[in-house]
Amino acid sequence: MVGNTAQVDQLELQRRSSSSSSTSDASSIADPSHTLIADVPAQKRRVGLNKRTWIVVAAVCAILVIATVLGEVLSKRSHKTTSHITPLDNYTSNSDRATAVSQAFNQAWAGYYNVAFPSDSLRPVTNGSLNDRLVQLACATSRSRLTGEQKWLGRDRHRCPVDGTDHGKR
Amino acid sequence: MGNDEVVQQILDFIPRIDFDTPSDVDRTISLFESTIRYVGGLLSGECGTGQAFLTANHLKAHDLLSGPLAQSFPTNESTLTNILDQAVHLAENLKVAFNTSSGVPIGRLLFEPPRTNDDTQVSLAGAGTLILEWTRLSDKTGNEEYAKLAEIAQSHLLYPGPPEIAEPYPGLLGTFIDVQSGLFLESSGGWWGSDDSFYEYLLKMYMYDTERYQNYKEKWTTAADSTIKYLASHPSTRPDLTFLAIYGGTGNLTFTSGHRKSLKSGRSSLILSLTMI
Repeated sequence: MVGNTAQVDQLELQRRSSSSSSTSDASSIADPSHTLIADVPAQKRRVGLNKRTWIVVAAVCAILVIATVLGEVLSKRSHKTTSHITPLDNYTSNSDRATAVSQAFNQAWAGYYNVAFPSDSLRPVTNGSLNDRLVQLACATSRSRLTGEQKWLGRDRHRCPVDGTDHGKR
Repeated sequence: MGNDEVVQQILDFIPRIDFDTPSDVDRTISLFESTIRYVGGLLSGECGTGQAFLTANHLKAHDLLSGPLAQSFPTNESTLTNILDQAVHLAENLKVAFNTSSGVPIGRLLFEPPRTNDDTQVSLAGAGTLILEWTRLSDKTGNEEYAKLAEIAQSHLLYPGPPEIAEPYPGLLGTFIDVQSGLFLESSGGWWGSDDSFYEYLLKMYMYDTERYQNYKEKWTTAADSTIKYLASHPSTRPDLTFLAIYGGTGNLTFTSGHRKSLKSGRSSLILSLTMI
């Protein structure tokens, strides 16, 4: 009984506005669409004989179009919401890189811990260490690169920010 | 990385570090390096014992063992206390550096016993890259002395004098400061070794506590705006690249670059992100 009533309402709407049912409620016409989809081949054979059938077919097409559009919009919206709540972090989206970094660290740490810990320097060829806890090797190697800046300022600009020795790196 | 073994190796070692005895008694010890590497490293690893003193805002600043590792690597209170105790021990040895008439620290110390050397000046980065670690130490221990020492030093950099020498561009400062008067001695500077981490810490202090250090954000944005306005330039052949000049004073720019300028891209993105606040 409900299905019949809905079908009548739909037809009434179609008569009032000859355009497709943009103002109709999709849920109220769900039942007739289902019964008619199954009968489409039979109706095609009777084309031209039943004007009422034509109107119903048009209504079904309109419903399908509306359902498709609505479905896309809704799925996009839900996708956006989901990605906003749980963005992929770098460990997940670049797991290969993360694993490579982890492996590189573990290898370096293991080598250092086994032969040099807690000294500052490891001798990779002899697998030994240097008692160098306060020797700043970095300063000697990088000093030459700043010659131009030093000249310009007329003083040694490559100094440690605090103590004036040349190893300061932040 | 889930490597609990390495974490345990380091935790076992920390209490055994001797922060009193240098291997060479005549060699100076850097306040800056000791602060950012040892004190900062210890504090960022430890957490917990001082939380009663923290405001809600501070609690957002998780440290390693109480934050990311809390679930996978549970630590007991004594482990955390050991780490904090070492940070306090080192800071107690270093704090003599602030014993100048202005409060701006001397950058080099000697140990056994802890004392400063005879430096008369310190760099902008040397005096201005301490506030985060020393403040954090106070917030964790409840002992305000450390933060106060750093704040007094920092005040000479936030409100620098004399203006015509100290601040050649709005928010961009000179490099060397007289430790007794707290006044700037010259007007050269830029985003490089002796200066850059001062600007970096302006931003970090604001991020550490957005209410307490609101004025640090103002200082940062002033420096960032001046950097964009006065120091940025683009090679004619590569307009997509941005370089920052160094300066010898107002209107005295040198367009040079060095091996550390790659830092710019990172900080530039910080500039951009902050301008949106």
